[in-house]
Amino acid sequence: MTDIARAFLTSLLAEDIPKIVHEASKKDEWREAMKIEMEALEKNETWKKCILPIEKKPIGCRWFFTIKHKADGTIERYKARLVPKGYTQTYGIDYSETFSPVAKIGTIGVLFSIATNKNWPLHQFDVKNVFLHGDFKEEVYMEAPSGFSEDFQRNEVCKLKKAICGLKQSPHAWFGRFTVAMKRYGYK
Amino acid sequence: MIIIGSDIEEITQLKNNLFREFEMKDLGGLKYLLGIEVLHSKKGIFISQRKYIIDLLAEA
Repeated sequence: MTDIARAFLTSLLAEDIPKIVHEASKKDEWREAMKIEMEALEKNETWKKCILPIEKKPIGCRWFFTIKHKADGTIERYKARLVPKGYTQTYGIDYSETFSPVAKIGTIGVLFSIATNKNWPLHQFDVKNVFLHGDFKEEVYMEAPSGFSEDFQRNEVCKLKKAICGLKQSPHAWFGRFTVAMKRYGYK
Repeated sequence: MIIIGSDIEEITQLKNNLFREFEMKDLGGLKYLLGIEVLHSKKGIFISQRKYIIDLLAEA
C-alpha cells in the first residue's frame, strides 16, 4: 500500500462518525451539517408539511453522517444526509414501479475500448441531486426528521413531493424523467 | 454520466440540452466511474479499481 493510501485509510479509521442523531447533536459540525441538509431539502421543495390523514401511515427516516475527505486524507467537510426508510414502504400503497436500468461493467468496458481505439474523448458529467428531478404519483408521508421536531406540530408529517434518495421509486422516477428528455432531443 | 461519440457537434448539442434541463456538473475528462479509475496517456487509457478496493477495505 502506498503512503498516501495508508494515510487515507488511517484518517478514515480515526474519525469518529456518529451512528445516531443523539450522538451527532453533541458536536457543532454535525448540527451545522444537519441544518444545511434541512435547508437544501426545503429549498428544493422536497416535501410539504401537513397533518397526517387518519388512514395513512408515515414511513420513518434517519440521518446518515459521513466525513468527506480530500485526496490527501484531510477533512473536506462534514455531511449529514436525511434518508427515508424505503424498506418500510408497502408495494401497491406507497410505491408501484421500481425498475431502473444500471450499466453493466462489461458494457462500460466495451464503450471504453471503442472510444480508445477510435481516439474519441471520454467526458464525464454529474447530475446534482439527481433524484430531485423525479416526480412520482404515489402519496408518501414521512415522519418529522429527528432533531427537528420543534419545527413540526403534533401529528404533522412530511408529504413527499420529490423522489429523494432512499425511496423505492426514486431511481425509476429519475429514469423516467431522463427518458422523456432524451426522447424530446430526438434520441430513441 | 458519460457521453461518448465521434460527432463533436452532436455531443456539444446534447450537453447543452442536458445542462439547460438539469442541474449538472461538468467533471471534465473521465477519471472515475462506478469504481473504475481511468488514467489517460498518449498510447491510450489505463483502467484500475485501486480506489474502489481501498474504499471497500475501509468499510470492511
